Amino acid sequence: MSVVLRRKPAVRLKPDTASCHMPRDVIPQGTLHLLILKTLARGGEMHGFEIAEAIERESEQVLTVEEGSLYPALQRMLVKGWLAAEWSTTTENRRARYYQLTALGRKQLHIELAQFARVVGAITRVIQAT
Amino acid sequence: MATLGEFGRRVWMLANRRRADRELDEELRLHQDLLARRRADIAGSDARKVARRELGSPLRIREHTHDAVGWPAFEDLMRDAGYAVRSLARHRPFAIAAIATLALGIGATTAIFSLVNGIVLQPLPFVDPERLVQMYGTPAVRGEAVGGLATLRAESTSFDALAGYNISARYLRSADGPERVMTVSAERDFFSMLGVAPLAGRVFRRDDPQTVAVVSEQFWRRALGGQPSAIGSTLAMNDTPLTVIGVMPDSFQFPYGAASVLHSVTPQARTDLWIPFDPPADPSLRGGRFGYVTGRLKPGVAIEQAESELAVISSRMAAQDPAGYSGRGVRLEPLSDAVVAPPIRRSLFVLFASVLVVLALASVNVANLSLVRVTLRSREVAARGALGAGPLRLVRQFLTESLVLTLIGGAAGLLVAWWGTEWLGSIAATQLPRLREVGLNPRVFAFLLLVCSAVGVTIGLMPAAIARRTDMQQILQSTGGHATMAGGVRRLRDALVVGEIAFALVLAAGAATLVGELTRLRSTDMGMSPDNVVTFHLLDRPPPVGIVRRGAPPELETRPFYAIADRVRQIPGVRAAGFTQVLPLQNWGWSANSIDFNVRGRPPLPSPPFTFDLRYVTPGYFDALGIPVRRGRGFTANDSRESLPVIVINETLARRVFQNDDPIGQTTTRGTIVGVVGDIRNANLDQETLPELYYPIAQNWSQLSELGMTLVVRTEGAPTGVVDAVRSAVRELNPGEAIFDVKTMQRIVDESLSSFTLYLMLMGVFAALAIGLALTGTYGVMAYAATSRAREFAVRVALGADRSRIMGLVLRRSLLLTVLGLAAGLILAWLAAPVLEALPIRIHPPGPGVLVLVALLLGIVSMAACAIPARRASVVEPMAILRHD
Repeated sequence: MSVVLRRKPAVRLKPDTASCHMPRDVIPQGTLHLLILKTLARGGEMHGFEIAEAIERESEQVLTVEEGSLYPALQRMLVKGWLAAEWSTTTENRRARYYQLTALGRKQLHIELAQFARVVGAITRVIQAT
Repeated sequence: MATLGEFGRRVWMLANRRRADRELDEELRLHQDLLARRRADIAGSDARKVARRELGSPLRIREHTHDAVGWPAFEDLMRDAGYAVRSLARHRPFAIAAIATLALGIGATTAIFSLVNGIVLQPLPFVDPERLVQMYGTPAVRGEAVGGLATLRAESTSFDALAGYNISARYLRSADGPERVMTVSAERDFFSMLGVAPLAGRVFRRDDPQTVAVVSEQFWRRALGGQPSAIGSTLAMNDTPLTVIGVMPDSFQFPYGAASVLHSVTPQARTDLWIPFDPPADPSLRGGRFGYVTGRLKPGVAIEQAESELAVISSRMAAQDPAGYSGRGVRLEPLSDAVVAPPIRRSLFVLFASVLVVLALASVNVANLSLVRVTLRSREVAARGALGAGPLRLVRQFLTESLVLTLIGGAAGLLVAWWGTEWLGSIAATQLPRLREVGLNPRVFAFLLLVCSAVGVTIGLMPAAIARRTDMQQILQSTGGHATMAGGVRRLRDALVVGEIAFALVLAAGAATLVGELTRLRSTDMGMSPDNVVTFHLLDRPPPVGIVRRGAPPELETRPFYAIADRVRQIPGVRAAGFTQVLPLQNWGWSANSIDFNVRGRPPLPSPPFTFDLRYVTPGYFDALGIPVRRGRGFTANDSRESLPVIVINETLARRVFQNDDPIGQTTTRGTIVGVVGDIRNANLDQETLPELYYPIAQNWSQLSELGMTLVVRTEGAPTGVVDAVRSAVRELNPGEAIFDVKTMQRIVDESLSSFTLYLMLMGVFAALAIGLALTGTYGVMAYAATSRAREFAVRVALGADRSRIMGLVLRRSLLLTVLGLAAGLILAWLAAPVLEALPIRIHPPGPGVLVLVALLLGIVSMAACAIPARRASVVEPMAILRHD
């Protein structure tokens, strides 16, 4: 019998590396889906690296998406039917899997946005209470 | 992939794992390269290595991806299952024993379930079968024909359709002589009422003449080559040629009754042809008399409602025509009950219960084997627990192992079930209706899976429960090769042995009761002697071409039978020969009731009327069957068409009508009584003789059927010796005569017991299985117990204990368990005895003698099984065992 250790993939603070140039923050638990959905809603068809870059760019280099979290998340969202994927070639003629939002994904985006707003509002109220 | 839905996509991912992995790798490579390039812009040449470090192991990511989209639980399950298969492959003797046991138990259970399912659980294969009813004439004379159907149909408002039909045999001309085909003559609504579509062609239309025929699929394949072009072809029948208009699928065998009605005179329990039929206009019966009537109630009409309406119509008919209809009526029964009579239904459930007992025993045996394994594996289990496998994880693994075991057993059981269903079909062909609908269909498979899972969970939870309670520390610290059984395990195993013996006793007692009954029936005084008697079924049509024709004077048609009997009597070795239209014990034929049976000069017989059998015979018949003439005389060749109509009655009828008076010479409405013959068992061996009235065929030819006549021949020695001589004698006298069934009378007696032997055989098989399982189970437990105490015994022997004492130690416990099991079994058997009354055959509940005898035998065999390990334990070489440790 093999005892398998399993941990839920989480988005973690990127460890400092030689190339570190800005302090980075944790992507709050559960918001990675929201970020991916929103990025794709804005950008149309994108492959994994483009998604990661877009998130970093839009967050002004504050948030970093670890590949170890990105790809499992994408797969999970594919299975859920929020995304559709298609193999295609990049401008440099390399094969890449391009992801795209489905109707279901668009609906999910609204749900997650509303949920996020609710949570953020609540947290804000709590920490600003005097 | 987008249209699959989440579940489908998961399955797709799982099924295409390798491809998904490849794609993910490619994605990650691209990511890595792009990342490296970006870093290179910033940090120079060493970037690629950095990127890899950042990315972490691709394997890790892949695993996370699997966890994200796959089914971790499912993958664990597969891992456990794989482990279970490997572990079974390592312990081959255990695996083979367990799988064989399960295959037998599950297979037998599935076979019986397929029978129950096909015959009882599935609705009849017609449109809205719950609205179909069978109509019977009352009062019940045998056959329960319905009169006045046209009037009932015209005046009743309860039915969508009512169709009458009769069953008969007809003869198809072929190169090898006439072939007998079973024919149903039905009114034209017959098929549309049932709502079954033909396989090819069409069914009856209102305007079809009586010369068309719908054929069965089997007949179509056998006689018409199975070609679509057969539609429209002509069947050369002996009387009227018929045009084939349609083929019914094989599953359509209605009326089911045709099989049981006809099986006495034919081994072919099936219907070949359906032909449209108009009842002869018979004013006295008010239009339409049918042997069988099936109807379809209008939606929402209850059966009682229809019955009371029919009662009103019947009484009105009786008022208008007292002579033809007085005292008669009809009753209704749901068609499902008519097809599968409640006793048959009950008997199937009894069989099912019995086979469940066998399954329980099989499961107990496998559970027992697994318990032994658990004990042997307790170190492994403890080690796993110590390494951090949680109790639930361990339970899950035991469950997976037992489920793998039962599923393999179930797959093997499927073969057993398939074979068993075929076998049941062949031995029960004439006993059970709807056998053609019995098979391994999806519902049977679902049942098989259900049984497998139930058994798997049961035998998996048992060791799991034990393992959970096991003290890991203690086991890991113990050094011995044999871990001793924990008290809980031992008690559980002891209980299993007691239960096994108890249930085996119940089934054995059931089988013993049936054997006892069969012996009793076999020794019944039949009133005739069936030894050295052989019977030939002769087709009376067509008569030799050019000699006699249909409609010829009866003496011309009957003369050949007298001639054949005379000729056969002269064959060396033949003592007597005579004809009858139906043999005794075939339980069908013509009957009449006493309403119109009057004796001149005596008052009419008192009500209620009773039924008596009518038999049409030639003079040699009584001698040939060994039926004694008690008073007066039998028939002679002089009882002809020209002479006084005469009859012979049996003793029961004589007592019933004349009490102590002499019936000889009395004149009745059916002829003058010239003789009284002894009673014979005419209906079946277990039923008291029915009143019986014999006619000479020369005087009553018009009553004879198209089913032919049976020649009964009594011989000096073995009856089979004269068969060829009889055949050639018949051919010589009448080349057109066809001989169908040649059976010894003893075989006809056997066949009359066939429903009995069917149940006996099945109960016997189940009892044998149960005893076998109980014995191997008991043996296994005892052998294991003895082995695990080997060290203790060795010490005892080394210290000077007598070997017989050691044997006694083992045997004492076996004896205790056996006695407990037998006691429990006796109580169970006593409780289960009423179940035997549910069988469609009459069975006397088992006497205490039978039970005690069975218990004693089972006890002896069980002790013998225990004696083997006991003896082995007592002959151990103490030093060998002690040194071994």
